[in-house]
Amino acid sequence: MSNKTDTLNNSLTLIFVFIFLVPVVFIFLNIFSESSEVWLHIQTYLLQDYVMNSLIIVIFVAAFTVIIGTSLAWIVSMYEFPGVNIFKWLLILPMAIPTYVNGYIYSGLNETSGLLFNVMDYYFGLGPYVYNLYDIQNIYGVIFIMTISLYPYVYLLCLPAFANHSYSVFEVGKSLGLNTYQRLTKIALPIVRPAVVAGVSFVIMETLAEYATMEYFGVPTFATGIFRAWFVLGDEVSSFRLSSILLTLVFFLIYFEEMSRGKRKFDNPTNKIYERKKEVPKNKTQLVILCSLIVFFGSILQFFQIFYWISYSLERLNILFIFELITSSASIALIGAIVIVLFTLNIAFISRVTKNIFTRLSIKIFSLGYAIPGVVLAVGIITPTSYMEKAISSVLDYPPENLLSGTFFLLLIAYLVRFSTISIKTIDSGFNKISSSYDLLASSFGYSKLQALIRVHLPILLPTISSATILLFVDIVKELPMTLILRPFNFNTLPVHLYELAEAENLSSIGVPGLILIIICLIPVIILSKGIIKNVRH
Amino acid sequence: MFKKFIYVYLVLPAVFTTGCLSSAVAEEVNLYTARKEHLLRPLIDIFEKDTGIKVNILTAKTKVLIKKILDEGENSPADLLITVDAGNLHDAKLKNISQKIDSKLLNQLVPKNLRDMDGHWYGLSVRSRVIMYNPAAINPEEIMNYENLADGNLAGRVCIRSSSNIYNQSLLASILFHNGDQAALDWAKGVVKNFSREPKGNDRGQMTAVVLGKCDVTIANTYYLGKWISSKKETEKSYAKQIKVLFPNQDNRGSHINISGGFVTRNAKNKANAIQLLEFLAGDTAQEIYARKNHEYPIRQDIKVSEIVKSWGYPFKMDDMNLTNLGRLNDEAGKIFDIAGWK
Repeated sequence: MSNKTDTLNNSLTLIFVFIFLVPVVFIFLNIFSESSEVWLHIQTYLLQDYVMNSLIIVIFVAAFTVIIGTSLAWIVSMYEFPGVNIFKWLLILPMAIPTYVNGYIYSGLNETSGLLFNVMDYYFGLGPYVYNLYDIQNIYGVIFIMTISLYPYVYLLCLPAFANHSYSVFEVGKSLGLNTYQRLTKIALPIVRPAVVAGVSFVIMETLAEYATMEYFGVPTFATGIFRAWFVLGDEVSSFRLSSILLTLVFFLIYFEEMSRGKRKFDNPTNKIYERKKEVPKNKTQLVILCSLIVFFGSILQFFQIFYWISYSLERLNILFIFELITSSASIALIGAIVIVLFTLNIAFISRVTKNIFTRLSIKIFSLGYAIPGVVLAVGIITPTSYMEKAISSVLDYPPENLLSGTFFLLLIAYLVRFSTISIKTIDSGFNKISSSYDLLASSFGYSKLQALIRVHLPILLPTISSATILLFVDIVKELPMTLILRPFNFNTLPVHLYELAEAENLSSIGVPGLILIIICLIPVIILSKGIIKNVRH
Repeated sequence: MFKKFIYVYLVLPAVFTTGCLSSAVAEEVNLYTARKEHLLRPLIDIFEKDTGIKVNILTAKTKVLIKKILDEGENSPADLLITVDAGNLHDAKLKNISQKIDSKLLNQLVPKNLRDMDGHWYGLSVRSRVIMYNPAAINPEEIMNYENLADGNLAGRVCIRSSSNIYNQSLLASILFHNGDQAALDWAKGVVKNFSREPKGNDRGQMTAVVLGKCDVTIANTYYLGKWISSKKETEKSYAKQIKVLFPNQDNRGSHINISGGFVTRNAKNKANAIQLLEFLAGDTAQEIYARKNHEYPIRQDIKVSEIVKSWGYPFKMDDMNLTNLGRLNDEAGKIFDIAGWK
C-alpha cells in the first residue's frame, strides 16, 4: 500500500472523527463556564424533577421490558400452544409504532374523538364517565407507553438466544431433576443474559432520549429539560450542562454493558441448532390469554384507534399535503441512509485495509453515536456551527451568511452522527466475515484497493448493505427532535406534522399520516423478524 | 444489479445535492411562524400569485423561533416572524430581534392600540378571551366580569389552562394593568381556590371539561368555539350547543383582547418584501379571508366577520388598553401566578 493512500485514508477518518466529536466535546466544555442565573433557577426548582422522573421512568421501563420481553421469548420458544407461531410474530409488531405515536393514541382513547369514549357513549351513554375516569398523561402513563413500545427489543434479542441453545441443555437439566422454574432461573436466564443486557441498554437509551412523548404527557425529564433550558429559558449553557449530565449517564451505561459482556462467548459451539420438541403446558389457555393481551395492547388497539380517527377525519384530508409529507420524509430518509451507508462502508473498508489502531478506535467512536439523545445532538450542533460561520465571515471579511445553518447538510450531519452506529456494526462485521484470501486473490489479479472493494467486497456485502440501508431508512423516517430543530425552510416530515397536530390537540387528524408512518416502519420489521424467526424455526 | 447499486448510492445523492444548490430564487421572503401553516397557506398563495415573491415558511413554537433568531444572529435567514400574543411580540422587541419599520400603509391599516408604540410589531388579527359556561349550571349574572371568577360561590367549579400559557399571562397582565398588583394577586388566588382540577390541556380541553361536567365555567378564546360550531364532527357540533359565550366586563373596561401579529427581523435580508407581506396581511382581502376562516376578529371594525362570530354578539366592547402593556407586564404576571400557586 502506498503512503499516499494511507495518508488520504487517515485524514479522511480524522475529519469524520472530528465531526463526531465536536458536539460531544462542545457540550462537555460548557460545564466549566460560569453558572448563569437560569442554571441556579433550574438547580433550585427543576433539576430534582428531571433527575427523579428520568430515574424512575428508566428503572421501571427497564424492569418491565425485561420481565415482559424475556418471559414472552421463553413462552413462545419453549411451549406449544394454539397460535404460538402467529404470536411469535405479532409480539414484534409494536416495534413499527413510534413511541410518540403510541403516546398520542393512548392519550386519545378516552378523549372526545377517542374510540373508547365513543363506543361507551354510543352504546351506554357513558362517554363523559369514561372521559372523567382516568388520565394517562402522567409518569405512570409514560412508563406504560415506553414499556409497551420497547419490550420487543428485549424479546427479539432473547428469541434466538433461547432457541439456538440446544434443547439438550434443558433436557439435561430436566433429567437432573430441576423443575420448570429452576430450569428457567438456573439455565435459561444465564444463557440469555447477554441478549437481555444488550436489549435493555437499548431500551434505556431510547427512554432517556425520548422527547415527544414526555413533552406531550407533561412529564419533565432530561430531554424535555434540555429543550426547555435552550428555547424557553433561552440559556444554552444550562442546556449543555443538563446534556452533559445525561451523556455521562449514558456513557456509564455503555461501559457497564461492555463490562458485563466481557470476553465471554455464548455462541453455540457446533453452530448447529437441534431439532426440538416443545413442551405442551398444562395451562395453555393462560398462555394464549397472556399473549393475546400483550398483542392487543401493543398493536391491535392502536390500529383500531387509528382507523377510527381516519373514519373521523377522512373528508378533511388534504391528499396533496400528505403526499408532500411522504415525499419529503422518504427522500430525506433515503438520502440519509445512503450517505450513512457510503460513509460507514468507507470507514469499515479503510479499517480492513489499513488495520491500524487509529481506524479501529474511530469505529468504536462512531458506534457511540446512537447513545447521544437527539435533542442533545441538535443542541450540540447548532452552536458550534454558528460560531464557525461567524468565524469564517469575519476572517474572509465577508458579509454574514448562513452557509450551513438551516440546510439539509446540517441535518444530514446530525443523522450521520446519531445513526452511523446502526450500519457500522452491521457492515464492519460483514467485512470481518469475508476471508482475507479474497483480498489476496484480488491483488493477484492486479486489482487496486478500490477495484477490489467494488468488484469483490461489494457484491458479497450487498445483502448486508441493503439491510443496513433499510434499518437506517426507518430510523430516520421516524426521527423527531433533530428534524424538528434543524430542518430547513418549507420542509416538513411525517413526524413533525404529527407532533404539530398533537400540539394543537388535533388528535383526530393524526389518523392518516400516523398510519402511513406505521406502515413505512412495518416493512423492515417484517423483513427483520422474518430472518430471525426463520433462524429460530430453522 | 451492480449498475443499480451504483445508481442508487452515487447518482441519486449527487442529483439531490445539485438540486438543492441550484434552487435559489430571485424574489423571496423567509417567514418564521408559530401559526399553523394550513391557516396561513391560503393567504400566502394569493400573495405569491399577486407579487411573484416566494414565501419560505418554517413553523415552530414561538419561543423556539425567537431563540433561533437570537442564535443565528446576523446570519439569521428569517425576514419576518408572525406569531400570536402581544406578550410574545413585545418579548422579541426586548430581545432586540425586531426592527422599527416605517410604512405609512401599515400605520393606516392597523389601529393604534393594536401595534407597537415604536413601530416594531403590528397586529394582524384580534382574538378575544372570554368566559364560557354551562348554561344549565350557571346563571350569567354571576359571571359578568373576569373578577367574578374569584368569587367564593364558584368554589370547585372553574377550570382554566396552565399559567405557562401566554394567553393566561396576558389576561392577568391586563388585570394587573387595570386593577393593580394586590388586586391581581387576590384574583389569581381566588381563581386557584375555585379550581375543580389542576390546570391541564388547552382551551378546547377546558371547554370539553365544561360540557362533560368536570367544571361549570372556563376562560377560552372565542375562535375555539367557532371551530366546534363549524366542525364536521357531530360530537363537537353538539358540544358547541351546550356551552355559552359571555363577553366579560361590558359595563366597564370591556373584554380582554389580544392579537396575532408580526414584525420584520433586525437582520432581515429581504426587508422590503417582508414589509410588503405585512401590508398584504393587514389589507382588506387578507383580513376578510382570515376572519372568516379562523373565526378571529379583523383588526378594523369595517370588515365583515363570519356569521358564527356575529352570533355571539358583534361588535362588543373591547378593552382598548395599548397592547404593549401586556408585554411590559408579562414577567410580573408570571410571578403572581407562581405566588398564587396557579400551575
